[in-house]
Amino acid sequence: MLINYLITAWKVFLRRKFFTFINLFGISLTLMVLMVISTIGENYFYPKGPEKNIENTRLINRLVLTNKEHSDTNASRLGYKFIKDNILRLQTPEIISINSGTAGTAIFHQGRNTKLLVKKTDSNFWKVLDFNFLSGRSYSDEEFNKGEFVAVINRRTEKELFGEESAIEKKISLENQSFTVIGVVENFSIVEEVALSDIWVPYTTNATTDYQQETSGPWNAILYHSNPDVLKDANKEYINLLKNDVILDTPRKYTKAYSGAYSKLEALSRETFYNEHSYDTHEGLFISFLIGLVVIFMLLPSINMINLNVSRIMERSSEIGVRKAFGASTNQLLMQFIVESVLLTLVGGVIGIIFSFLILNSIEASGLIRHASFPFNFRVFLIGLFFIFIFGLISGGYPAYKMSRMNPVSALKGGI
Amino acid sequence: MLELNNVSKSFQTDRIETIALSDINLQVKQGEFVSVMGPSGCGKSTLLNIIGLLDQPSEGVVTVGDNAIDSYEDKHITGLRNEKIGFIFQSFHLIHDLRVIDNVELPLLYRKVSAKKRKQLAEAALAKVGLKARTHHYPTQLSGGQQQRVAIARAIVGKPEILLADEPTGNLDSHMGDEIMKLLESLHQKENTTIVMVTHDEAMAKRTERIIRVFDGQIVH
Repeated sequence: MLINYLITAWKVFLRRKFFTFINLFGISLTLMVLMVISTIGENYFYPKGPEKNIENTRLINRLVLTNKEHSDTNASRLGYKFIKDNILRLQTPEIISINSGTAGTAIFHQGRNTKLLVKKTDSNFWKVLDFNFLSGRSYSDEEFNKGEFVAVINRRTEKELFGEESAIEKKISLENQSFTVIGVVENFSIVEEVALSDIWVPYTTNATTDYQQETSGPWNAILYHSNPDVLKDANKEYINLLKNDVILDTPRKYTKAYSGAYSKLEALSRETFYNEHSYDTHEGLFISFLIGLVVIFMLLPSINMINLNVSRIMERSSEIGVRKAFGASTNQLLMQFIVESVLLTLVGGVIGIIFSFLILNSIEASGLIRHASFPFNFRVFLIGLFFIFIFGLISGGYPAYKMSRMNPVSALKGGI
Repeated sequence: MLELNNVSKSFQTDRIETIALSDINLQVKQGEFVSVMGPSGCGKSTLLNIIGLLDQPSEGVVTVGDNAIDSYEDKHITGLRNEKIGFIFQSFHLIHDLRVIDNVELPLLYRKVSAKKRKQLAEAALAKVGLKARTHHYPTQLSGGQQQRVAIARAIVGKPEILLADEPTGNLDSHMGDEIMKLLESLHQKENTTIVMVTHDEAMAKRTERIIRVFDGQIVH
């Protein structure tokens, strides 16, 4: 019977090419967009580069300082002094890394200017993130403490500055200081924004130590614990400290500090539902918001297809009447129409998946998202299958139900 | 063979009850060819739908073969329709997406018949209506008369006990109508098929063995 349903469905598709085309177009376009978005999202939340141990880290990169009346507020990254006075007191994390936000700089090398990103870090930075070293090594605690002029660069920078030669032991000039390259790491996607840079140097090489007196400034802190479950308590401890025991040594009369040690999801959620005078990340709301967006995005073409399918009832009512008259039960008709719509959705889904891989490949190739790589991913494939299933159910199930329950007499007359 | 006892049918629409059939008693014997005549809206089609188990009477009992119909549940009724009754409609009602042979095989799809056997039976039925050469055409490639012959092949392929024809010549010119009538007559004579035919056409009706006249939802004698 199933083979018969499939054959009939196939014949119907071939005979109604325009209808089939419109349906396939809608399904594959919707799925393609969802697949592309979910792949990029998956790449963001489950990075494959240095942030691949993301479960073991929490990022603190935002601090809101305010007075009692909330009339004077300052929001920025963290000041070095704030980190020293407060974050370094946290007991939960095993390791805490201090590093600056990424800054653009121009390096004059072999007669030409190259624009590159620079990040200043401590030596813990290399312990909390998992960089893939192609050659050389990272800087040690000792080198960091002494403020030695050493640098780690990525593969792209090595190629730009030194061509095919190895960069190890070569010199580069940054802010009028000469650094020795001691390590080269693999390129990684721009979405790994905590690790992101082209050049990493110890911040102890800074020309002055003025930064050590600032409460707000360009710094981030990364908290690390080898056990992700333990790390979940880090934010509680941090917020508790901010509420009860914060040290704010500033010339202005700030008394309150709002901040948080966030996972990527929490950070993104806080950015989206931003309330500067709160510790709440609204993570649940953010996830509901994302699900809501996906549902709306899928609902629109689904409703369109339901409409298309329901209007097809009119066209095929005679067929339904005839099949019922000659002994088709309601369930058999329901099955037939569901097979038709599932087959159509599957074909559309396969086309959508193929197109999404093509698009992701071209995003990869175009460099739109720097060093992004979107290899075939079983998880994304499963997400895609799930979307297809839901889509088929929404757009095919209701019309199939409605079609199969038509009264045979009125179906033969050509109406509901 | 076929029996209707005290069958009535009324429709409820917007607080008005319309009586389509009232107190119909009717018997059709095995191998009989009867026609049902009457003006438009007299209840002929409703009568045919009730005989064909497409519609449920408000009161009374329908008996098809040995089965007095006591349940109009989908599962029960579809099986009976499939085995006992073959339909021929005024506007043919062929499925345009399917080839002639697939259209004819349709009733067998809802029985446990193998694909090979289905094909054999459908070809035999098409041979009976003289359309064996057209098995792989689509309905729209055929003339009206040919389409109705395909519909007849579909109605007889499952060897039902009764053929129900709802104005089978109504959409055809007199020449094609005559051909269809001859085909029904030959099925009746050669195969002893029981046929109930609704028609407007007095001349066609006279060619059947008995005319049942319906007026205002009742059989008039």
